[in-house]
Amino acid sequence: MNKNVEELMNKLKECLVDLDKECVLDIVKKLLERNVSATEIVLGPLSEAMEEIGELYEEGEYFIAELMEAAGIFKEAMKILEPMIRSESAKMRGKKRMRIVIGTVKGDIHDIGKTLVAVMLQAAGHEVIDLGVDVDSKTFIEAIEKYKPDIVAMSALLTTTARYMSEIIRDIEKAGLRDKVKIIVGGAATTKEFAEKIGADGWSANAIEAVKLVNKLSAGKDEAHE
Amino acid sequence: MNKCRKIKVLVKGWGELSGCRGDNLGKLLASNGILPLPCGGRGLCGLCRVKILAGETNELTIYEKIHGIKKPWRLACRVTVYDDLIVEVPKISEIKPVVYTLNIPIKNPDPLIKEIHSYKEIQKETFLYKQEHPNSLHTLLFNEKIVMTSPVKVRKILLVDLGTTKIAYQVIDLKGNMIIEDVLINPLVRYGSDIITRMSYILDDPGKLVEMMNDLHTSIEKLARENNVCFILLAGNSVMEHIYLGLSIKSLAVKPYKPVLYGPFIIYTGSYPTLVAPIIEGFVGGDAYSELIASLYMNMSKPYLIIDLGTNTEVMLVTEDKIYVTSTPAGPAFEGFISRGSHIAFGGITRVWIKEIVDEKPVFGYSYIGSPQGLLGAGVLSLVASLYAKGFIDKSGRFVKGYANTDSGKAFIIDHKNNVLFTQRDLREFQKAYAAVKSAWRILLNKAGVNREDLKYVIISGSFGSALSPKDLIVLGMVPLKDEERIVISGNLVLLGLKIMALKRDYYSKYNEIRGKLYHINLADEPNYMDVWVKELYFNS
Repeated sequence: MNKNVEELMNKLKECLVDLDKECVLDIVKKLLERNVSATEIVLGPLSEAMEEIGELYEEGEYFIAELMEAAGIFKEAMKILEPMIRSESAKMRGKKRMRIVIGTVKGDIHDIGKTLVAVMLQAAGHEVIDLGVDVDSKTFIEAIEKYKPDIVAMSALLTTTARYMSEIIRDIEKAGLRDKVKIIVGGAATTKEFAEKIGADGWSANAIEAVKLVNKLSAGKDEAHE
Repeated sequence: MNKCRKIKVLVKGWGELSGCRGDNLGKLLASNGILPLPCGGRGLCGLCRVKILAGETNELTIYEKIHGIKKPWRLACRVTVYDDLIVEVPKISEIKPVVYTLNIPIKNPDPLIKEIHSYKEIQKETFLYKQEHPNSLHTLLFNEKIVMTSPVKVRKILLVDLGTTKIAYQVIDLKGNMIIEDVLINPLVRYGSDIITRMSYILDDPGKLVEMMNDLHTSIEKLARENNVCFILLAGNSVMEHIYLGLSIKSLAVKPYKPVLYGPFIIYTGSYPTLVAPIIEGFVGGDAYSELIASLYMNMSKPYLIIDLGTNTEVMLVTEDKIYVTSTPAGPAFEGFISRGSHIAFGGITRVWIKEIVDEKPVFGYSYIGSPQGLLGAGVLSLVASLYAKGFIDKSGRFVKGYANTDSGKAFIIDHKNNVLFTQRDLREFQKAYAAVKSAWRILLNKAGVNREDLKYVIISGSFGSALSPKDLIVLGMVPLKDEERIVISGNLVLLGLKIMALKRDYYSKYNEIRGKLYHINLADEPNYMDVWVKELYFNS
């Protein structure tokens, strides 16, 4: 990698962390002009920047608005890069793209936390099918059959609705689909202990942790409770 | 079933409890009424602090580390008892939070109740009365339709604002003179400090509904007896009213979040006839209705906004022809769920200001009630306002200067000695609640097509609100007006509304008329809610 390209790659990461959209799109174009592959751009500076943004969020340095903005800029960049990544074929090695079906469970219509997780998972390169809010087990099961996801993610804000998650897991079992998917849960009403109790495969405290959890599951590790 | 290996827990100054090895200390203490569990024992609020003087327990948990707890202190709800223990429980200070109730005189009182001396008086117009009525009881005629009995002559009335955390009450005579006003802690705090946790208990075990109802009735009946009143008027949020009435809370707990019945309700509390204020909709309960009545009686120029800041924040926009209402959960972040939070039951810091700036770092002054062990909601709000006004935090809520780097990350240290600090993450929790309140009024104003500057008044009601200063609210942009003169900190409006309903019969009868004007908005159903909320995270946006 020549010095000029390296500088641009570093600058790209910096710009995304600083949430400077124009700069990000500008450098992405410049890198493509210099024959850097789209895959390298995504897996390199863009992913690194998203990771750093995640760390800043966990420290409280960045907040939800910044997270949403970063994901938005990432998406814009992906609009340019996505077609090329496809033609660059299987180079996205080592980073399996997971298909995730996500929804806020029945009785609960709280959207924000779940949407944030969906956005961050997309920004991490995964495919997300958002079923929305107030999702019952029938809808989850139909989505599993239709989309054949790797992961089902459920959210609940209220302790009064979180209890419905165990019912959904039971219904997925009854439908004979439990071994087809990993099930992860989150939301203010849930805890790691709760997730274990209801037989979920993983729990995360927030959107950043959710991305880590999914990446871990995609790497095929068994110990997903982190 | 595991065999119970008996253990004993000696609580200093209280006595001995028995339990089994493996029991949770918090539950053991709470079930004996020694200690409340504000978050229901989930390790989130960090308020059930106890000192373990001797005996074997589990190690410090991550929850306790987050809350900065060090041995011998523990959070009771995180302690598993392995052996006989000696425990010291900090005395819950008998704090009487001050009630600031607007005391508006009632002109030409025309009470809702009337004492009947002869049955003949009522036979014609009544559809309900007890024939075999014991002589010792007084009969009172309620709103010209219903006859009820009371053990006491018609002279005094008890008004009760049944809050999630606090029960504020007033005893008045039939002319509207206030005889007593006071506050007690809601006995249901032992089932968790927020209504969602309490509803979970009931969903888990429906028997808990009756248990909670009885707890409340016992407290209120005691007040009625001690004050020798003949009649009770009570208002609470939708969940508290449902529990008080013994109604199923299921439809409130999950979508559609609607009450089973709207009321008004007439029941007995012990032997005292009780009127429970009607519920507006969803989480906008009889307490909000009473506030609305109070504001209508005050005849303020419209449009005006009422914001009742609290665990559940109700917002009402009153225009000439319509009344827009909504509610938003905001309390958990305002109170208790920060690293050095406190709960009104324990006392805490109510106001923080920057005394001086030394070496570019703020030095804080503060006032408190009970003990300065943590920050109460009003303390947090004044702290954030002063940090923002002096540029220590920026518009997005990021700590920019003057902070310390601690084990809990960036933090402003309010008091070294008492280990009271406020972290960057705490501010993020605050911002979530702050944005929820702003989103609520923003969406109501949009729906009604009212410009914020056209509002005549913003009324901040509730006891949490009464500790706030309009300046702080303006600095943070938490209210839609920037003019201090038009921001009214009203204190408890619920009791005033109840007083008006008790003494102005026509106001009570206005229910159907008011109901026809109400327009309820469920924020979570608003398609652009998330976008609005994310924008409102910024200060003064």
